[in-house]
Amino acid sequence: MRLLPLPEGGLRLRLDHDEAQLLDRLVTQLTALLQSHSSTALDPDPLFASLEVGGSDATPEDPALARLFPDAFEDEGDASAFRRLTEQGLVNRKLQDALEVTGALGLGAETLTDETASVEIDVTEKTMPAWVRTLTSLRLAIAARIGLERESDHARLLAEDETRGTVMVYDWLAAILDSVLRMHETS
Amino acid sequence: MAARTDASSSSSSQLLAERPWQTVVWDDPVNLMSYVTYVFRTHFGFDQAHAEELMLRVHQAGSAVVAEGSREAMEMHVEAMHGYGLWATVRQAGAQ
Repeated sequence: MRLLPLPEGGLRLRLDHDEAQLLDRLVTQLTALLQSHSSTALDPDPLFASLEVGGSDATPEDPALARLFPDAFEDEGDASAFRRLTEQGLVNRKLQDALEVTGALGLGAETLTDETASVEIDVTEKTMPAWVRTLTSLRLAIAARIGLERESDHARLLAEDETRGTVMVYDWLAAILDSVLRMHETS
Repeated sequence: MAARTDASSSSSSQLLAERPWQTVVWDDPVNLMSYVTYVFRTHFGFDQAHAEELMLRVHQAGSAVVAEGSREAMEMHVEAMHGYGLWATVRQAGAQ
């Protein structure tokens, strides 16, 4: 993974082909997770998608979804009413972010190109929110899956054979996110 | 945190009579400090220093009030925070 500032602002993210494939696979899994929690087809019009009503009224049982869509109120009734009004719109916006990232990775239509080539993506002021939000959604979902609930869990999960690989991916996503943000901050 | 005074508010007496609502952001072990600062800058329009100060308050105290006002306005902030993946809740001042 390499990042280069662009002279006109924004930055260029260069991923090895394997890295791009891994990221594409993760975001595709995130998309499937979000779609499993969606009660409507994604409206192609972002305005209507963001206004969508029809969320559930209970905290999701899946810990990853519960972290992506937390309760907004301590009071159960208030939390449930808020969820009904906002959740489907949040699901749709996270789906749109994820689709923007997989679209930019462009691996779907890439079967004939050189598989050793790196993938370069320009992250602009306009596309940056979708990138940083999606990288964050992935990290939240992964953390929930492996039970990373407090800071001390990280070292333990990294030491365990079963979770080491996942924690390394989680840290790699953090490195991309942090680099993007730091470059943005100084530009 | 210093409250932002709103000179255009026509109902200051009512605001004083009712406890305001708050947007509370909670610490979590996943979100990066640089990301939380970015979200506070982007969504609330805070400058870098103020955004960092609030981010550190969240990190060190476990939570921080990042906005105060009407319930409707706080609900919009919390929805936006959830859109960014931050753990945020709405509560009425004095309820903690």
